[in-house]
Amino acid sequence: MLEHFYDEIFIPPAVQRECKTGAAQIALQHSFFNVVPVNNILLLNMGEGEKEVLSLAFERDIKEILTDDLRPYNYALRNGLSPINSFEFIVAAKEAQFIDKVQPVLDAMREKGEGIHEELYQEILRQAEEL
Amino acid sequence: MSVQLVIDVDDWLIEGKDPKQVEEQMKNDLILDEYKNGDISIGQIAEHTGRTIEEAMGWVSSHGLSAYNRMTPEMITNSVKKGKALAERLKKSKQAQ
Repeated sequence: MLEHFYDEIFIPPAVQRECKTGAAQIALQHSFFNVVPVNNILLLNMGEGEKEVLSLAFERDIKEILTDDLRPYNYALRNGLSPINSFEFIVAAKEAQFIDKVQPVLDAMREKGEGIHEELYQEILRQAEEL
Repeated sequence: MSVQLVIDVDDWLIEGKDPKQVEEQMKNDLILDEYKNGDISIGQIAEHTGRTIEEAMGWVSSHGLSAYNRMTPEMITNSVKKGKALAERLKKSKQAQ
């Protein structure tokens, strides 16, 4: 669905390396994902993937990054970027009518082992007006 | 002069547990705590523990943790707003085309 929202989607090499197996590896084979090198990697206390995502965004003056990790998310916010997380994207997909409901996506994430506990699950569904 | 020592022993000294095993457990507990507090990411856990991203996600999940567990109701409210704004932007962009 990302391709409906963005004209170009960039992935730094470290993130590509992290997606060694499973669905992520297959997804990255789509032509709308551009794996591009990062020239200047920021010295940050984060994982290689997070560092390269932030560095690439600054290097190419791209405002939006997609991350589910709190540290890069907050760093991006503090430094003028506009981070989004998967949940925000799922809500956007629903609003844009690419999906009917948030719930099946959350269920699939839970089945995959995302560890979304019941209280949070219920709160998300409540706020997404599905309860 | 007496030779003095102040120690802060961990319980493995007293209980006779395997120090390596305890060290590993303490390391794991620390990693999980840091993840819970948002101080380290899945990517870092994978790097530091020699796991793949999927394995690291499975590992934190087996301890009842995930990136989403740090979301408060306020954060969810903001996320819903941001998601709606993202969809609105897409709508406008499609209309402009």
